[in-house]
Amino acid sequence: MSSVRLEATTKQFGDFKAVQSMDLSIENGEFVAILGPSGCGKSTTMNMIAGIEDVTSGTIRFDGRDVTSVPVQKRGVGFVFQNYAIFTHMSVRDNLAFGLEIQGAPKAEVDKRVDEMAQFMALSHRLDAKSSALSVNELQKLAIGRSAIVEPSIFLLDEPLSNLDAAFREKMRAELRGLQRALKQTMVYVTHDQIEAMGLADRIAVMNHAVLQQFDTPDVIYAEPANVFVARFIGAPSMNILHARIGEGGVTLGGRDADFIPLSDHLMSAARDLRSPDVLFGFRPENLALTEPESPGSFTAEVVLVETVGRRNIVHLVSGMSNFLAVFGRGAAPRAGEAIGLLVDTDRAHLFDPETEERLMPMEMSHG
Amino acid sequence: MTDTALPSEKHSGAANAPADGLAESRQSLAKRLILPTQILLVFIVAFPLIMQIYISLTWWTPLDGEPWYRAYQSWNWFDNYVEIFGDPGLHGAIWRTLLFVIIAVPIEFGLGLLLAALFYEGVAARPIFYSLILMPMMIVPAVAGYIFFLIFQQTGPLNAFLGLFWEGAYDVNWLNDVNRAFFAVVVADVWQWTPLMFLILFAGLMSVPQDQMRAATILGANWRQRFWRIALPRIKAVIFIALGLRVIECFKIFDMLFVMTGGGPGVATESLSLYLYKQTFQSLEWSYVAAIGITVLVVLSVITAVILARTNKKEDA
Amino acid sequence: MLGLLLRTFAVAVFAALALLPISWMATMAFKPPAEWTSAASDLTFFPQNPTLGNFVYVFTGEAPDQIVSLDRTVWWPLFASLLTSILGTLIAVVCGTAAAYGVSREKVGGSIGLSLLQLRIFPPLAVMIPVMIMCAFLGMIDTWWGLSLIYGIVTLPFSFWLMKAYFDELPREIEEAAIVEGCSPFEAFYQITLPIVSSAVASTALFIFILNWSDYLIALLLTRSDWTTIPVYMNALASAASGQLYGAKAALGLIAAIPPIILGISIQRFLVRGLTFGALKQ
Repeated sequence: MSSVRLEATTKQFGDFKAVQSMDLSIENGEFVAILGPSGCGKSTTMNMIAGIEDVTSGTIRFDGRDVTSVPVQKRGVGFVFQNYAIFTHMSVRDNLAFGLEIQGAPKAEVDKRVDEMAQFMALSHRLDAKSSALSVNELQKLAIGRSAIVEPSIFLLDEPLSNLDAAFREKMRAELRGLQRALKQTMVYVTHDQIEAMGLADRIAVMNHAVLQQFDTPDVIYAEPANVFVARFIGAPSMNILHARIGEGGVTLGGRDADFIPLSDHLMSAARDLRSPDVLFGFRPENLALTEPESPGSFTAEVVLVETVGRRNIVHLVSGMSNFLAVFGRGAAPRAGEAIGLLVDTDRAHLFDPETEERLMPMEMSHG
Repeated sequence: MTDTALPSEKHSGAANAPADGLAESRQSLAKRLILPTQILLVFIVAFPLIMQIYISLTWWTPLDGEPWYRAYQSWNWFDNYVEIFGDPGLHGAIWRTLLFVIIAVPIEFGLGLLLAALFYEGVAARPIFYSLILMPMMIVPAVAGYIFFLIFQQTGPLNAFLGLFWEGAYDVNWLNDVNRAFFAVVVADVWQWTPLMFLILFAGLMSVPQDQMRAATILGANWRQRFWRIALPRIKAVIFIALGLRVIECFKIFDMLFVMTGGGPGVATESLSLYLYKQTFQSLEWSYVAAIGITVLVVLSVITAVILARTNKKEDA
Repeated sequence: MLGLLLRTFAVAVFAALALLPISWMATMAFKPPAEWTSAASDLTFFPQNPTLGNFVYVFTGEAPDQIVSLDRTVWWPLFASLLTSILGTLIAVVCGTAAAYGVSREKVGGSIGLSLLQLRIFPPLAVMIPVMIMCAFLGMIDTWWGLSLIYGIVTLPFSFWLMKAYFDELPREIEEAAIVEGCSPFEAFYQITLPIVSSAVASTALFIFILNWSDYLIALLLTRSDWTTIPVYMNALASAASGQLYGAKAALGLIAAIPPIILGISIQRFLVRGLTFGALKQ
């Protein structure tokens, strides 16, 4: 059990920067997900924490101790591979005992701890089975147990659920979360699946193009994305981001004066330093309400398509040149071709700088 | 009646003609395709086998001046087979062949494994070294025999090299001494076939999943522990194939020995194959050689059947 | 880094050991007779007076520094080696591929595969007597077609098992699709499946050519003089002339060694498959 700190950690393969000057501080016992599209550097980050990859520059600390040059064998991390990397030519018992035997622990102690771990992982009845005969869920438990038995300072998991079908993944996710709580382990979990990250992690580190975009709790990342990438990457369907123009007390969408959306002073204060009136206006599909066309404060859009998913209607809309989505409850079901009025919940809307794509921060105000 | 029923009516009442006819024509194609091989097998296996069994039950030799099918005139039942048990020349040849296998194959395996491990851990300029290391096994075995005939000459390069360190090196006669000649042919065989072991074992090592090796590393295993506890156990089947191939080939070894030593000095390097060759062309006791041949076939068939049964069982498990 | 250096050094030592014997023969091929058998203390690795005399001698039968002229030059054995190896390869590959397809697709032929495997396992000398009698009876001894035929049969197990492994990997659906389109089963095999495995056939053929070219024993048993192949010709050379013709034989050895080395390196990736009858893939 350790805290982990990455300080300006960079990884370069030739000319290619895989991870760029990453700062990340993971608390003891925390469950952190590193989330991002494939090729964003999340696996490289994890491999550097594990010591599988050297860092090009920067420092990695476990509990404040510099481990940057400690080789992978000595670093004391637990690692769960995407395919679990179970030693299929060995029995479950031999898999569990492997790490302890390598450390040269006395046989009696190995046996005792293997039994304890098997008990804990509910694998006791399978101890002498060939590990190639295990079910996926037993494999996951064995993979975690095999790492946990040597009491690693942190646990790293490389998309362990990505090979599973959707229904089973949910069950395994719950099990993983339970194991993490019971082991009280610091865990770092790499995934490209935002639902998995949102459901599992205490905090999420969102990465893109080798750069850490945002590191915060799932709620904050959802409600206050740091930039356009995070805003679009988190949430399904993802956030609508439309070109807009700053006006007096609000924004106009797509250059149509009729589509003027009044914004609160609080949100307008975010645009105070912009040099041009162009801005990106972001709002989640859930934060739209249906209203009469041309009613005050609303803007108009045409319905292209309506998908019904469970209890929700996902409505594809077009306004001016922009396509975007709205999510309504089952009750509100506009028909394709219809022109509708939309009200944006401006308390949950955001403005982004069109050049840097960073979110524009409103001025701090004293509430209540 | 639907349209789909029409074609089968045309086919003179054969109800499910399309499916059955197709399966039948594929079967007959397959049978025609294997025909040439079957004919060749009858020609080279079945017919000669019967002939050999027949000859082995007589005293016939080509010196008789009688064609082989008249061999029944000297019918002797199993006398040739009885003779096998009292033939010191044959026993010596079998013993030397076994000794050769016992000495050469483990050395080849050990060196091949060492090389495979070195390559697996990573070496510089790997493709170049890989090609160079494989060279010996591509040399025509008879030519390899000649190469080592040259090397082990009393006035040859080996003694010239040893002479740099030791005055008496030029007095060492390699191929005319019983023990040294045996040593020399083992060296030649190790030189030529270690690359084969390496080739197969390295391919095996490369098939070990990377993630398992990494997992072992993260659990603290050093490369030696990874090699012995993860990689080697995983390539057991490959090791079995490599050893099996070499053992079989060692029992067949002829070309290299024939060119290098001719089995000599005396019978010091006379393998089973060389013994059979000498019996065939020097003693011309063809019926006796035929009997030995049949015995060898039976023994080898039993061994291979046992091995195949074992491997099949392993695959099922 | 140190480990890499040490490993590379160790492998370099092995590579040197692998190359030295070959290069000794190679340099010998360019040495004049005076350097063949000189007192050992004078032996040098590189020829002191390099000459092409040995090659001239084996190709023309005459050389200024050789008293005895050769009654047979290497031309004909070279041709014999090439012709019989190519024809033998052709027989093995055509028959083996056809049979492999039949067995792989329709499971016909019973234990044909096992018989072929046994054919490869048995020491040839244990079964040669009836084969020689039969060859003599059929007039196959010392003929190009007799030697080619036996080469073809002896290497059949390789082509059969190798091609069977490839056909087993190939989904049947490819041919079924072709048959649905109106091909006959043979057309499906010949026009669809064969082109797909053509590079495998080519590798197999090169591999088998190497095996045939490398043969010594069969040519020794089944040829007398007209159709002896290079290895047999090489080894017989010593007794044909006065004393040991070290240099001339080394030249022949070099000629015999070069084609398998070039072909072998060019199908390096295929060798594991080839040598293990398709059991292992690389």
